[in-house]
Amino acid sequence: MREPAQAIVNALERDVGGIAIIWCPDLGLRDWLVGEVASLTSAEPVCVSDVEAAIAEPDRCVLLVPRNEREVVLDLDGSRDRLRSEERPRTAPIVLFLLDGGDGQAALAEAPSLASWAHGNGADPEALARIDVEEARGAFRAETGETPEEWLRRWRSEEFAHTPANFRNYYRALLVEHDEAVG
Amino acid sequence: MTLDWKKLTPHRPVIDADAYIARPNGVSAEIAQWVRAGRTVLVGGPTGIGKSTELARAAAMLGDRVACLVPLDRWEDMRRLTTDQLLLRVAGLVASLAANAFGIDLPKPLLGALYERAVFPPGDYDPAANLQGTPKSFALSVVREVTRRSTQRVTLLIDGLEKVHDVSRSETLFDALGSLADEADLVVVIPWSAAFGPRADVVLQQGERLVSVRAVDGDDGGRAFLRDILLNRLQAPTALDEVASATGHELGRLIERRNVVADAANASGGSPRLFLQLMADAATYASARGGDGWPTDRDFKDAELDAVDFFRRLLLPGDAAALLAVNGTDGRELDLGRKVRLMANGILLERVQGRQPTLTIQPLAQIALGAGAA
Repeated sequence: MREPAQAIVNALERDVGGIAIIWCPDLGLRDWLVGEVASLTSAEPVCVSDVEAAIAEPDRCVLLVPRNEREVVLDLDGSRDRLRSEERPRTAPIVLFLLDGGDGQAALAEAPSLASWAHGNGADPEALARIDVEEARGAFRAETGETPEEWLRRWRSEEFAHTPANFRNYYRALLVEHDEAVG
Repeated sequence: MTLDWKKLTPHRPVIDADAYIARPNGVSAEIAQWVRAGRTVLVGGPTGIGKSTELARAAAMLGDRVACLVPLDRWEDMRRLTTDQLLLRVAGLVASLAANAFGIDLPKPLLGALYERAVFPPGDYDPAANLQGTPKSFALSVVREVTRRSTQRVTLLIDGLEKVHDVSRSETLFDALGSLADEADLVVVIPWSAAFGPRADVVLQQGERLVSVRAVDGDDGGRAFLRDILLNRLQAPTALDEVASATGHELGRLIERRNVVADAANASGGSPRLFLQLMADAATYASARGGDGWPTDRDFKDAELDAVDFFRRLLLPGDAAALLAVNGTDGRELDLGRKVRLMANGILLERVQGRQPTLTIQPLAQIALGAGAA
């Protein structure tokens, strides 16, 4: 079973300097997801709204939050190989935030180069976050030996390193905490 | 031995001749053969199928020529590429190759003119002496100078024009390239609308040859090719070999590794990039879960689901019914725009059975259809 955190971390980690797509249910949650993804990146990310600004930052994780989704998707499609310059290869990913079912998704179907590059590198946190709380709680305890609450307390006390495995645990614990809080 | 799965870099073509792995239905030798026969060669194929790698291999095989790879999309925004930019970029890249790989020093007034137009590195140029002219005249001058000084014919292998979606603009760009056809051999990756549509026969000029790069077949040869790419990129040629002393758990893990690689090959539908993406994605899941570095069956299943989700998002309303109707046929009943889009995205794969091309649905796209696509 895939988990949202794991899917996001995978999308960020799979290709060095690649493109990950985060599918957002609405604009409000997009803002929240931008913040969450920023917290998952190891270095200070930069938030931009157009492709040229993304190309200008090859060594930082770029959070690309388009004002015009269609234009950004088509620009990325036409500029794909400029993003993998051999003279100065990207060392950090570009994370593109698109609305689920929005203009960007429709444009992606007409943007084969971008789609091919980002294939399988998308995450839909909302769809993946629908969990069975009791099952998730039991699985978490079985794997880590701690309850999600205990683990989160230690995470927030900076007792764990920021590794992909710990980010995964962080999100799993967070989901249980969130689901119980909202009932 | 610790494997570095980041080395898979699925989106990078193989440019280094030593790293090339011969594919069962490779077209590089065919391209080189037609070039030597004096024909212009048009190359078509879906994304991620290996067009750039085959082009690079063909260039390496044309040792009797000044073969220049021109990956336009590495330098230009293909949505806004003009004919002037196209010709200047060709001029700049041929001049660079001539200097760096063949030691040919072109006249400084010509190089200075290219530097002024930002397609050649800085140097000791006299601005007052730099040539004046049009982009077309610069491109022709560079090709003629290189031909004369090397006494070899120039071959231009131009990659990236498939990303020009606007038909009228791509026609203008191809007209500009056609102006070089008398001076140089041309090998050009063509737009998908030309490669998969009815106008695939003539793009630049009469007598040109269309060469299609297709997915590798799912037989033993195809699977072995994909496995070899994986092991080559991981720099672990023996990682899937059986060790005589392996017993019990070790043997079980080896069998699971082999099965995961075979499953990824099958799921990829024969697309090298998608195969590597599936393995890279599975390896990232494996890394997060601990383990010995190699993805398990569970890791692969998660990667496969990621890919299925992605395919589902590439399907537009009406695609599902159209795909099911056209599966196993030659596709002549399919609306052209839809056909071009589905083939360019690798959702519909063209295979040749006998001499008859047949369209089949990509295996993971087939799962996406079953999972409630449009």
